[in-house]
Amino acid sequence: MIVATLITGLVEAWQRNQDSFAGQALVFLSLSLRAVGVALLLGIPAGIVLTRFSRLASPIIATLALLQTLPSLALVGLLIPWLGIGQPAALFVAVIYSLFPIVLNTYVGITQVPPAIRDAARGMGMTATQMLAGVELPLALPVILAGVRTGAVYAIGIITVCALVGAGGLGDFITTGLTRGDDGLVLLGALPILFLTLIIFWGLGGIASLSKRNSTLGLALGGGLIVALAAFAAVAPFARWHRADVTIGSKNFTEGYILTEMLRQMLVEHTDLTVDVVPNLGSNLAYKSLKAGRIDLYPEYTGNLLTGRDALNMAVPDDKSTITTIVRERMAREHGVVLLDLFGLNNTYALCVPSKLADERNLATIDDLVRAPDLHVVVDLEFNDRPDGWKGLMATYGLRFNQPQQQVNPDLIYRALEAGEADLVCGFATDWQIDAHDLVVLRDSRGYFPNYHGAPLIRADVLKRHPEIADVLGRLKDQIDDATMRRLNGQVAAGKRTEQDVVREFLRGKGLLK
Amino acid sequence: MIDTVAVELRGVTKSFAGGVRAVDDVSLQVPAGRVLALLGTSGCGKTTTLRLINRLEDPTAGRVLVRGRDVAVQRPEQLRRSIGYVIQEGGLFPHMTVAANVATVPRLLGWPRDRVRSRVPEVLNMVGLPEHEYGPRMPHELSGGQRQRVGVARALAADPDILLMDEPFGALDPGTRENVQDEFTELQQRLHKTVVLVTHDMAEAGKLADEIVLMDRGQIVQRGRLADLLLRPANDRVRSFLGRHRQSLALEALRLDDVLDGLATVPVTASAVRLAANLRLGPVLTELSRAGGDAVVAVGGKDERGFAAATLRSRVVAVLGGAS
Repeated sequence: MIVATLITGLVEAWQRNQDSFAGQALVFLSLSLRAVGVALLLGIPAGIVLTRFSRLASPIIATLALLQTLPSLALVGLLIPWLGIGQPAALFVAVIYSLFPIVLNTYVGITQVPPAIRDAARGMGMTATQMLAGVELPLALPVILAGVRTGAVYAIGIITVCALVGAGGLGDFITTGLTRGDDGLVLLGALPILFLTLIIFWGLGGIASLSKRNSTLGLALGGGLIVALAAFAAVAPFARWHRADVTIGSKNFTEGYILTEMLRQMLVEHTDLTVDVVPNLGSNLAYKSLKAGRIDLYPEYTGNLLTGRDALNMAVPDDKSTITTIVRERMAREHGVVLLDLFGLNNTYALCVPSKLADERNLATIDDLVRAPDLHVVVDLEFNDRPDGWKGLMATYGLRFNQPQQQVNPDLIYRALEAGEADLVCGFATDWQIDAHDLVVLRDSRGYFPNYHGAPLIRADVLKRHPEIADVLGRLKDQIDDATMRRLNGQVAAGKRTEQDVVREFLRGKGLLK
Repeated sequence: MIDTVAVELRGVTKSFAGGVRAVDDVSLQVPAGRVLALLGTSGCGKTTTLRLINRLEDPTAGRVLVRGRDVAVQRPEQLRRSIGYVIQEGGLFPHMTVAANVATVPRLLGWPRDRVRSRVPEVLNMVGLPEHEYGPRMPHELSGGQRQRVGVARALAADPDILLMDEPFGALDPGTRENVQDEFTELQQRLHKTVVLVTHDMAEAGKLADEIVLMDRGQIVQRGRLADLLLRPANDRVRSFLGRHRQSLALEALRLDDVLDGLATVPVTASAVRLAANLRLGPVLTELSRAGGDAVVAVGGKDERGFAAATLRSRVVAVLGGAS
């Protein structure tokens, strides 16, 4: 049953994405191979150098090993001010990770050449270079190839994850699929990646064992492969990073895609600007990318800017109606970014329980939860750690639960509810599932959660260059309330329609698009 | 060419990190066309001495001369290409065919392809491995003895006048080792290379070398033929090196005329038992027992000399017993 559903989903996802699949696969392949190629260009010489200065070997190898332990996304995040987002960042991080096994194995491969053979080579009258090329490297090749294999697998993994920083490629299908709960789309991305990984794993393994038996064929294949990969990396220019007039970023969840698409269609329709989209940015990455100039605008929420550590880092004011004004003024003054007109929606946190449970236990406000410490709570990953998140909520309302809250990916929250593994979830006011699953949002009677009004956030210099953007996007003011947003989210996430389609229909209905 | 000095060490010392003197003030000369064995236990400095000759090591003090020129002023690679080098198990490059291994030095010397291609079968034939059969094989497809022969062929490929051999036959089983040793002796009788051979095996040194240099703790303790070492050990260090193998070595290595010095002669009679001067001591003992106590033994050679069988017998027994 499950398999059949998955296959149907996969076929459907394929049909919807036929046009973009080849392009994404090519981007993915090219990025992965280039990452390995660059790692080879740097790693093999580095490994060789280490064998000549063996005192350097252990500190350098230890440093590389240490880098290896950093989570890749953390590394990307740290590097945004320098590398920005997108393919260069993905490439850089993938290279860093695949460098380690290549350097290590080159070093080990060469140092393990038996002293007797090294002696014979010197005794025959080979120079250091002749010995390296004619004896040490060929004998180290099986070990080096094993390192290339590990490095390639790392690189593929990193490139996949880097879809989250706008690198594109097959990882886009996976992240988008996860966001929408579209298993078919996840598979459409994951299966080719799996195949590619297996081909590389077995292919390189086969060549390595061939060359281990010292077959000339194995040496030629392995050496040829290394040279070809390195040459590809050296020659292939970066996929043209053409810069449109404005680049819109998109956060990595359905509403992010929809609002970004909304901005894009408005700008394309009503201005002469060329517009690019960088999809799938983690929420913090979008803001960093905006400030770093890698994107020019993106849809943001007032509450994020109010409490965000990189932004205003403020406590929620008593009078929540002042939030928008405060954020707009201070962000412009202190951070050089402008909050344009609000869409109308307030996507704040929403503690939800199934309506049946709400009736049974008589739950209407968050205060009422004091009476229900037995509930299973599931929250999203970010919520736990936010200044306006879990701890403050517990303190403000004096709540306690018997079991610790579970943290999951935002889009799995409602799945937990469906699966009966949660009674109380912390979702968002515009989640389509609230309608779909017949949930009750508990009222925030003490006003703990700040407002999360959605609006385009744009860098001041971009707005100065293209002032018409404010007018055009201003036409969206108060056009999208919570209920509308829930509907649009549902059409994309549950209805499996593309956001282009849904947004076009919406804008036409509003008379904002011909 | 005889009596030209091919290789010479003058007061050479080699110290390694930590102040260990691997080679301690060693001087020696190897005449062209002769085989010199550096003999000693492991760690005695014999291998380091060998490696000083082709600059795999550079001396801390003293000079090394090859063909009369100080090696210190020669480019190490060029020097090494002009000297054949054989190590244990041949030290073959495992990723190259036999033919490619043999062609190593000619290629490094930049020989034209045709010349390399005709030279490889030539040297492989010299060591009894037909090129058409063995040339395309990989080293791991050969037996230990075959690998060793290829190692010798590789060292001979560029026809060097000097050959350095570091425990060349050490890894072979006894039977194979003797065969390869015999082949080497035959080859050397034709080629007349200057050979410096490192070995810890006295029998091998006695069999292959014209002269033996016995080393201990970096110093030369005695040089001469094996018979000299056996009959006239210079000191206790030599005696202790010969050790318990002395008797079997003496039976193998010593000839009748090695033990005749200072022995009283008697007139040769017609009934005298006749023995060859180069007969080994083993058969000599057998013949003496057959001849009986009061017979006269005539020993052949340049001029025939007669000895009383009993006198001769007690001399041989004394030599074998070590009382010399």
